[in-house]
Amino acid sequence: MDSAGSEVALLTRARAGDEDAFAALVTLHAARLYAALRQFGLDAAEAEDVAQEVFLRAWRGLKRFQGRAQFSTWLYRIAFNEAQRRMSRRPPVPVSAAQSHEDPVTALPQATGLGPEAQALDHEFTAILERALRELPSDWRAAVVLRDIHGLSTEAAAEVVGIRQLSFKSRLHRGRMQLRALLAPYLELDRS
Amino acid sequence: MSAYLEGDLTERARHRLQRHVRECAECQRVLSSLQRMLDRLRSVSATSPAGEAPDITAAVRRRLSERRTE
Repeated sequence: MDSAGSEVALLTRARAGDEDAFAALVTLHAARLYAALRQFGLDAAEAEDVAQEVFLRAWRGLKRFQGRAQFSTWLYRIAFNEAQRRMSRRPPVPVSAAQSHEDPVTALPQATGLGPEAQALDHEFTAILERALRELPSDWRAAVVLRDIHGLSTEAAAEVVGIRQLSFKSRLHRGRMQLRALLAPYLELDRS
Repeated sequence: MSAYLEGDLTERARHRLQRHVRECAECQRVLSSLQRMLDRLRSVSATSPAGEAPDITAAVRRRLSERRTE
């Protein structure tokens, strides 16, 4: 059975109340969902807590999941909404910090003398990327995360954030352009 | 440019942009760097680095079981 087929089978069993089947679904999706929550802007503790909450909500709502969207898209949607809610409850950033004149580009980790191949090691780039993503407005950030890192289609990603595709594309473009400017020194993006 | 890379432009708009990019060094640089960034983003694993992600399955199982016994 292919992975899509096995997911459908697991969903059917989980809908009937099979916790083992649901746990298998959690295992299939947890790492991606946790990574997305971090990339949306949550810290490690928040992302862990919210990821658990997302799956518990999914478990409670499984019978309502019609299967029109992919299961993963549905999870991303719950995760996105939950992350937004969590970030909106954060205390406001103190004025002095909000008005920091630190240049977001120079605030990123120092680019080392390594060549682009060595710098491109996943863990290193992931850290740089996470910091650069944090510099983006949250709407633009979510668009880039869903479309360019997690590979959702424009249609699915727009559905996750609950906006029309045209608006989503506008956010995506703005996010990409700002991220490009932030990452340019680390990926040698401007080399000819 | 983003729409161009998404393949969302009409044929006419695509040709117009291609023509412009051939003649404009700045846009050529931006388009090419944008493409390189997207290639890099798409090659990043969408999951966390190994060992970093917490064991969410175990936590969810525990919470489901707690709810059952409540």
